[in-house]
Amino acid sequence: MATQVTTAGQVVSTEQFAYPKGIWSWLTTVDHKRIGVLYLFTSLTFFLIGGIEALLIRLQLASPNNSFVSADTYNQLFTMHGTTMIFLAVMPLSAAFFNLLVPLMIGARDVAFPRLNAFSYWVFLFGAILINLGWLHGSAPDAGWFAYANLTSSQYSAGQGVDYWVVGVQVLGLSSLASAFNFLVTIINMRAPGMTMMRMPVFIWMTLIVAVLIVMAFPALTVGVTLLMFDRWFDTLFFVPEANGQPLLWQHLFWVFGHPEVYILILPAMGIVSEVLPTFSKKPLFGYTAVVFAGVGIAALGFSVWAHHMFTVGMGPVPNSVFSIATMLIALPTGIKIFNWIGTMWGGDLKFSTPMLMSIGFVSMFIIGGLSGVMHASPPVDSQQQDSYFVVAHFHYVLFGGSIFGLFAGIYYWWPKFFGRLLNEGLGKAQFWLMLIGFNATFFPMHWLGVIGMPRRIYTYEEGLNWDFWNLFTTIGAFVIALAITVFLINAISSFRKEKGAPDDPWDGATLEWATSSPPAPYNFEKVPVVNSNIPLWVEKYPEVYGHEPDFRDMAAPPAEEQETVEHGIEDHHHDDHIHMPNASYWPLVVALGLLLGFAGFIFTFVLTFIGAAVLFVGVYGWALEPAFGEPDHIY
Amino acid sequence: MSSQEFREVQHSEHAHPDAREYAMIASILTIVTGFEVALFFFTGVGHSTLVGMLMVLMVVKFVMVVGWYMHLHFDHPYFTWIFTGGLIIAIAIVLALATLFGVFTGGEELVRQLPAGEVH
Amino acid sequence: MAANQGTASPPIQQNIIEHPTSTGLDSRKLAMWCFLASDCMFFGSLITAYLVSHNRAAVPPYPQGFFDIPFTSVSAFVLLMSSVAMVLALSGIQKGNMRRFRIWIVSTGLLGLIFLGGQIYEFTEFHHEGLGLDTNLFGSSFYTLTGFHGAHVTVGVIWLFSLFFASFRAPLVTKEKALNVEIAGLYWHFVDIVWIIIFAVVYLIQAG
Repeated sequence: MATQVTTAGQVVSTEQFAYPKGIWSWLTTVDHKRIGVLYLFTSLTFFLIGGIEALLIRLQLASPNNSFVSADTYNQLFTMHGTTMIFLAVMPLSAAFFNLLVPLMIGARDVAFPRLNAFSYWVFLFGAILINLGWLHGSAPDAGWFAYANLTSSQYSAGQGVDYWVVGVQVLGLSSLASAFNFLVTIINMRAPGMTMMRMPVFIWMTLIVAVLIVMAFPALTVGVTLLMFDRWFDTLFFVPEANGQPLLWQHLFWVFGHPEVYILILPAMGIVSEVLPTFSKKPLFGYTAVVFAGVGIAALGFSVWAHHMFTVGMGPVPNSVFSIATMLIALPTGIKIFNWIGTMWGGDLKFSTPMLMSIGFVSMFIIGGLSGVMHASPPVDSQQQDSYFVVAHFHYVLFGGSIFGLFAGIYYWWPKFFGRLLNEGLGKAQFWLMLIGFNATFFPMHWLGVIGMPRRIYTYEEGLNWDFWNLFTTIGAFVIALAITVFLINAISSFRKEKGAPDDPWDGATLEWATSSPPAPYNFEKVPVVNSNIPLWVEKYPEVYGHEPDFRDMAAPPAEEQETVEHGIEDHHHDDHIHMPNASYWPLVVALGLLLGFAGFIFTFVLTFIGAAVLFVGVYGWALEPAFGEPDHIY
Repeated sequence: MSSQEFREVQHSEHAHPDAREYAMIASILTIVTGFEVALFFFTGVGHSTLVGMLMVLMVVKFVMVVGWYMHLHFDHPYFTWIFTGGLIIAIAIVLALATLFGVFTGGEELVRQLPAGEVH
Repeated sequence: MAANQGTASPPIQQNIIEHPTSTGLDSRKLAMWCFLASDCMFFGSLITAYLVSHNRAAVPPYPQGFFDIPFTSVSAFVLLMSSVAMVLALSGIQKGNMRRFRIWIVSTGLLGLIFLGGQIYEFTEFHHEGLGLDTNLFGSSFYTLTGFHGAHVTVGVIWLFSLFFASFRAPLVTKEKALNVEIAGLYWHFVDIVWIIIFAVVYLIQAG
């Protein structure tokens, strides 16, 4: 019952599917790999911008009573650093991997809705530009990335800074929602024959869970931000205390979104690491089922813990206890994952290439961040740590130590697949060690700073509070991180000066994407593969090891008669020699442009909103009437 | 929601409601709505009883529209799972927030506004 | 879920799926249901905002006794009936009866328009009685919640009339493509059930 990844015997003319060239082809592309590449480079650009903001913050804090930037600029810097890193770097970097990998890993030719996919990217790009426009105006958002009401009311934020945040976040939310619907349907509906849910790579599972989280969490943000918009533009009173309005409502709506958001940021990295560790340990993931269900568990609990961000607002002992217990429970599925990753490496034939190093960095740093997270899951402890640098240390350990290390593991691992060139191993290792040292030098002392009383979001501090040394140390650490990122940039740029020539399967991977060429053809697979295992390529390459269904995957194998149905299904449907590829389209760009204008009108002039609505209207009809595939006759 | 077996039967028979059945559901919906409005004007029951009854009637209408007009009752169970999954999360969060804000216990403002008497 | 391929075709889905899917279900219909699940959360959050705000109005008018229940009952009834018209339009096109489809889809759209007209009338009346968006928390939360519902209805009406006009262009709305109508119908019924909830929670259940 060996896996068949059929690649031979194809007679289709593939010339018609060569990648078109030129800027227009990129503006109208609906190819998931190209959209993934756009996501990748856009989010890396914003990662650099967010990083520069962080360096400016650190320069200001390097010494007491510093006046490198003004208090006002400082507020803008930390607000935009947080907003940029979360919405414009980590989330879209994860989205880049969803786009690049999901169809390849599940054996599909593209996502379920290719044009919607392009739309998501353009809306993301426009939202990102919109939120950053404030810099040109000299008034970037300055109320913190969670924009607490009523600091954001017209009364306390009279300038336009918060307007950019409100409108930008609204637009970015729409982009995330659109792409989440797309990947949800793609994963449920576009899997290759034989790929049951329990044969999906763990990365696909994590993508599915993230999509569910986005679909259910972002509407709360949309509503919260809408209420804030109305308060600012139409004088509603939701968050105005003088009229009995409740700023607390904002906090609840924001964190109902905000806590699932934390898992939206970390689960993709967990998925990446779950692919990388087995490859470089030469062992299938230990406890596949447990890792999958732990992910589901994290997501389910993720909706019941939001108020642990609000232990100090005075909800009372009962709600505090409930949210505290729910929060601590999350340590269980997280712990399961960590044990499984360690179990995967245990007794494996370990190879310490850069993706592996980054993954090990992820696991170890994430443990530290997880442990400090359990600490302030306890309300009394949290009362001490709330709004202190201890919290800053905690979430950087999970977001940088976790997500960023995991995402770099993914970048090094899949770079050859999509660009046909391997990144340099020496530079990669240098980056890893610099980043690990710089990261810990930056963020570990923040635990101490927080415990000895340094609050977050202060633009400067007095001498003699015992904060001077560790602040300087932290600033030096931040520049070591900057050096590490510079090494990465050199590595990335110099990789493009090399000839293409990366092997199709440089790491001896187990999942379907390694069965395609590097870079993959626009249609991904000449023939849709048939999958019999969650490590299909290893079963094919090492039948002597994996030829017999290993017992822990038995539950994934369908009974013989269903097996037959599957193969018949292929006989019936997939011996169609035509490869249907979606047509390029400029309508997603038009609709996204309409949305951009519509929302930008809230900042500049409502005339723009009407123009935007008109563009949107035309765009939606153009989109609906244009055939997605093939001839106009084939339109649905 | 109704039994799995019934759904299976519907599947195999490829039956779906005809115009008459739709009209019947429409009349039930109309009657329930009329009953809701009548309850509103009827002063004989306490507030909490009224709220309870109105909620039950609301759920009845909701289930009828979702189950029959939106065909969840006859359609593939995946659709039911997806929709009820989202619905359950949404309801849970609405109830949790309403509880946290004292909607069910009657906030102080509420007490101040009302004439003496029942708050619930 | 390849095992489902054989059994999955639901009775009301008569179109031919050009690209076979893992579940046998149409991707767009699946996406619509995912969207509706998400929209539950959207309206859930708006209803929450209403529930926690409307009784905190600092100045009159207060919600108790403010609504014109007989009038809104008629609106609610109109929207319910539009759902009936919608299922009849769908059953029309599924049977290839274009005339029936057109009559009922236009009826659905018109009933939607009547509902919207009612809402505009209601908003105008309330405004004359001194309730504005910025009057008090009741006004803010009431107009926001019902306004977003009205926006959903507006999108639905545009969609329904688009389907009606598209049915005159041969390949767009046909028996084989009844799924296009079915998906619009799902959206329309969802808008209806949201009103079922708003009607009960906002209008009929008032603190008092």
